Amino acid sequence: MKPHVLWVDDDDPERFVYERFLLEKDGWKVTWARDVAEAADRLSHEKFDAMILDQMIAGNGVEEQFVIWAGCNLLQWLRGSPPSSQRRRETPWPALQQLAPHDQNKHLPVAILSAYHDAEVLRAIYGASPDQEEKPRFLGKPVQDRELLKFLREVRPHQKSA
Amino acid sequence: MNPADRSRAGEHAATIRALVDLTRTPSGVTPPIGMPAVRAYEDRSPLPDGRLASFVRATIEGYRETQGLVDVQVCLSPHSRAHHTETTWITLYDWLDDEQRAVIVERALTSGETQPFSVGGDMAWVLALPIRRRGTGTFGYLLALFETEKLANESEQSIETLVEDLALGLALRRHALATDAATELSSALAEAGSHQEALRWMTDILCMATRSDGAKVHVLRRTPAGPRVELLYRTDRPDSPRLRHGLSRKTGFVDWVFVQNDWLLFPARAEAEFAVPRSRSGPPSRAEGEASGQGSRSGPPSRPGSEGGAAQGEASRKDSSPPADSGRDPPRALSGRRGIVAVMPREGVDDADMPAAKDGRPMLIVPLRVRGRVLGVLSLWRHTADLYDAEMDRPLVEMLARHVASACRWLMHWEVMQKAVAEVSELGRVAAAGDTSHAVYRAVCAGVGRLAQAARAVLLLQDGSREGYVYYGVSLWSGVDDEGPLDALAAKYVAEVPAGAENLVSSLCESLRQTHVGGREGVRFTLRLVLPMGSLVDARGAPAGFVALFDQDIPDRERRPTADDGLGREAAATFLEQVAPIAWGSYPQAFAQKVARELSDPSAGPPEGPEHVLARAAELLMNRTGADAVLVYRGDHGKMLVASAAPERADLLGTAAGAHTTEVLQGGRMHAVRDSEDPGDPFFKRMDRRTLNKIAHAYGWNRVRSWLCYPLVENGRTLGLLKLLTRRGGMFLDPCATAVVEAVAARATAEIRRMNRALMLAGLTQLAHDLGGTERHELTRAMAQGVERWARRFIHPRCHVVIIASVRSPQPRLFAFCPHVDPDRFDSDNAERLMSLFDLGRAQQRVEMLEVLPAWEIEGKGAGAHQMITPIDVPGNRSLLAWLLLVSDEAFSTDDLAAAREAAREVSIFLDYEHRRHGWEHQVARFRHAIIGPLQGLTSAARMLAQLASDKVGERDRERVKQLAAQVEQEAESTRLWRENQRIYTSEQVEIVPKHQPLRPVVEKCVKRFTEMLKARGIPLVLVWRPQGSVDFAFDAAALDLIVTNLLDNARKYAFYNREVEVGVEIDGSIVRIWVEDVGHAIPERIARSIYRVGERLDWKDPIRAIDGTGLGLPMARALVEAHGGTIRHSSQPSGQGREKQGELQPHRVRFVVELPHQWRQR
Repeated sequence: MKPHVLWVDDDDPERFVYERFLLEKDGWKVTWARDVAEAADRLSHEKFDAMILDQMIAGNGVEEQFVIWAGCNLLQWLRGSPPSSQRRRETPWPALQQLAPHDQNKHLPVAILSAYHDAEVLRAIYGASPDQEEKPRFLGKPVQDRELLKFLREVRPHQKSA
Repeated sequence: MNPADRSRAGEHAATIRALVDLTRTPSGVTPPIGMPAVRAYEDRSPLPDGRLASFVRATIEGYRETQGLVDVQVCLSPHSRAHHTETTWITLYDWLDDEQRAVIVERALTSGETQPFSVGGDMAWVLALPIRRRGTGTFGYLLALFETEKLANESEQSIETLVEDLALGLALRRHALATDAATELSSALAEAGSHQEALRWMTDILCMATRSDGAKVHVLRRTPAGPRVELLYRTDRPDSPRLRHGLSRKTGFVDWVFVQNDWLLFPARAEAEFAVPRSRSGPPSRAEGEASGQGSRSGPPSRPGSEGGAAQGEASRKDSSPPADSGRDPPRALSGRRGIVAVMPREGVDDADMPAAKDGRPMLIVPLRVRGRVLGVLSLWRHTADLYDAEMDRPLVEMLARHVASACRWLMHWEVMQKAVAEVSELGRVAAAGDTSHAVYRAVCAGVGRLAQAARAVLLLQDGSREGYVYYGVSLWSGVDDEGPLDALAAKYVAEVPAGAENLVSSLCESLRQTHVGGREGVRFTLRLVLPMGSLVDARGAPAGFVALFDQDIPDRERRPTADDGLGREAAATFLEQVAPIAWGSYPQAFAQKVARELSDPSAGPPEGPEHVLARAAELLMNRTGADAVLVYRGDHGKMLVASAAPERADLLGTAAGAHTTEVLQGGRMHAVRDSEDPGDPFFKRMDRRTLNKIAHAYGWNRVRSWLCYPLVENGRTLGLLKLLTRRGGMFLDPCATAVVEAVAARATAEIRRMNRALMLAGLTQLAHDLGGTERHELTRAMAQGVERWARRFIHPRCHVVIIASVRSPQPRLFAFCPHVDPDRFDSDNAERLMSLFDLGRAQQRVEMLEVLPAWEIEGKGAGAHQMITPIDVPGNRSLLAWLLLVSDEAFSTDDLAAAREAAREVSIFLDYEHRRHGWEHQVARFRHAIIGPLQGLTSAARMLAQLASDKVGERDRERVKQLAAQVEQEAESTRLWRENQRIYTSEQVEIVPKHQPLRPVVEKCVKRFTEMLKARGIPLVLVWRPQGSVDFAFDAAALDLIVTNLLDNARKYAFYNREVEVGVEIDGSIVRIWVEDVGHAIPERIARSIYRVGERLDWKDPIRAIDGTGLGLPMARALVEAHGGTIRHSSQPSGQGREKQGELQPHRVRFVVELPHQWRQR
């Protein structure tokens, strides 16, 4: 059974044609989610092996300050983090309050695609002391294929490039 | 008319003529008003009184025709003569010689014959009659000589008429003399420039009227030690000091007169009333006078029926023996009620008894009475042998002495008034000096005591806080001796009068009599009287205070009321009445304000803080109220601790206030306990004895007597507490102390308020300064924490601060907050209120409340607490709605609100800054998102293209596709680089994320980036890679890229044309060394350090190029290097290639060296 990666990004998947090509070539099944609600829905019903998560995820009717930290909010929801930030309480996505992540997804390895600095994002997720064991990996955009594959191969060491 | 009638008519006519002549004669008393008259008296020129003898001669001349009359001889007693030169026999025919006359006089005086008796062997028959009138003394004697006894008997009636005529004339003459003298005495009193001058004139007049050679006046005065005899004036030594001595019952002539209220006449002889001259030849010498006086001691008794004789006879019966201890017989004197008495003179040269009457000198001492009471004593004396007459001189002197008594009384009155004026002046001086209020009380007390000549005076002030009337002695004055600390004695005076006492004064006196009055052994004091303190009364109508006056009980000391008692009492009462409204009315307030002003004395330097103000107030209160110690408590209602003490006691600092102090604090107003051990005090049972004893022990006192607590409360907030204490045995804290404490506390409160405001503003300035240097990511938190720290210092030590702000959102959010408040919970607890608050803000309604009701919910802390809110207005930023909310368990004041407004104004600029930063961050993020998305697509497509190309196109096209793909990669790399640089540039916060990675690709990328740029200036860029293989260690690739890029950028800007730039890497032990070297402008030593600081650039001017830059490159490089734990340095050495230029313009080899630590793995 192929390992399954969830790629959450509001961008057109065509902008990641090469990366998807590499992943599939590397033996991964890639599922695309264009917004937070869709991602939450999939994470609550399907089991994944990894997640590539964009930090800024636009959505219909979602205000800008929520867009900026949307990826973080989704990750907090996934990890079940305590409400350390006021931003989590104000989430405009009802799905995050109505759904619960699949039990086997709660410790999902995550790589965040962020234009922010790593520390900033960590603070946004975990508050003042981002000393969490399950820290996400950070990947800049444009995505470096070598870093992407390194992350995924660390997740599934047996999965070797064809 | 028969011959006898004709003869009688002739006799009367002669008598009337003589009387008319006599009335034309001047009285013989020259008023000594003005110096000439006084000189005339002192010159002792004979007075024109020869007419008295003429009157006698003319009168007896009218009887010349009396049948059988042989001769008439008249001798006048001394008081009838104007001068002793006139003392001689006046005769009709001079029928007798001296011997015959002596025999006749001897017989007449010794036998008391009233019938004719023969002399000279029946040569003549003599009628000897005294010349006198009813109620007067004897003017003299008349001897009528007749031829036969029969004729003598027949003419006896005629001779008696002659004697009556003479007596009438002489009485008229004497009466005129007394009247003139009295008139002159009155004039002297009225016209004299001073009482002293009046006294001088009066004694002169008296001397002349009584033919005395000297006079002196003594008065009996009240002194603190009892009545004392004081010499007021004496004619022979007018300028002598006023000698005083205690009134004695045993010795002293003057003392005798004071004690017995009787006159004395020296020498004590019956014949003193009439001395018969033995010679016609001039006045008797002093020796003769003395001889006469001594010789007459054994003389015949006076004639029966005469008053003098009667007095003398009685005196003989009452003659008292002299004291046994006298070595010689005491002088004997005739007295009015006791006959002849022996009076012991004062020993030595005591002025009171000089000149010495005991030597036989004629002296008359009469009491000066006012309303029957002896005011003083008048003494007259003569240097001659002319003795005073008890019946003639004494009544005259006593009559005239009334005028002298009047003068003495007025003199004493005047002197007392002068003393009263002096006391008022002294009081004014003391009040102006203004050491303590106690000094003024003391001055009042002493003034009353001195004026009343009391041995001790106690000022009692009422304590208005009690049932009944309790008067505490706040001041004591002792006029008798120094008995140690008088204040300690004053503390013993507590006079208590039950409520409803009908006569407050008598009850007070009774209470005072029972009060123990200290003194030396054997010395006791007796209450004389109490004087109320003017018209000052309390709400119940009881006097606000009294002055109690005591006399000293001295054994064996004569005690009697004196004439100046009334004067002194009246003066003391008047003085007290006059000064009381000042001393207890306006003065305490004025004094209190004066003391309070000293708190702001500019010469003392500006206070350093509220504690300093209170410490200074404590010292001031100690010096100005008479308190023995003043403690300053600081803290709040929860716990008040001793912050300072005057006098200083380190062991008291930090001591918690006792329960009673806390109670006063909760009451919020002053409370005073005059005597902590008075069970009647309403606060007695609530006193915290343990705390009081601790304080007393610290100061080495036995216990505490008075304490006064004054809470300094401003707008409901406690700034501190002042506690005044006196030691047991010390004085009571008087009501003026209360006024002083109030004024000083009010001034201190104002000072602290002013200072707090200044400090508050300074604190805000400091806060703004601190926030100005705060890194951006910390600003929000630092701002909230800073405001809370500031509020806790200047508003309330336990308050919380919440900054409510909106961030471009229709939904209210906590934008900044304090660590003590969980923003999420605050949001959820107050969601609806926040919504309405922001609605009001958007509607531009100003929401500001001193007391927010109902209170905001703040984690339970705010429930039921006091809250106030004020808006944070940011001019020009209408999208930011913000408020400052303060929460405290203590009520806020209007001043607090004003302070909060200041804070809101101060932080508004930073809030605005943060607000804009957030907005800017969002904009940047959106921009990044917008640009990176397509870039990602471009990159991905290019890579995909290259992938496909490598499979399907020809070799040449494949190469071209690879080039395109490489270019796409390069652009992508530039975009990534821009992202990293932007982060570091904009964050101003050096935050690196080291990762283990190879160094060479990063360095080569930088070299590659600058190769073309330097090449354009003819500068070859050389990479010197000395390590063998790759260098792999933990570093932040973006940061290192920026470091090398900045150094290369500098080299690009400052290197000269056609010189080489070198980038090198080497391993040196535990460090990785990277250098960038160029040949170009020097870096002068003077700026070697500053080039690493923000904004510093090389200050030379390049004549060829304009070199731009921000001055950020080297500071940023240094910050990044140091964030890696490394160092950066440079060297600037002259290059040998520049011959034509020297100094800084000479080409220099400039090398920047970066050294980074590593735990490296070299491959």
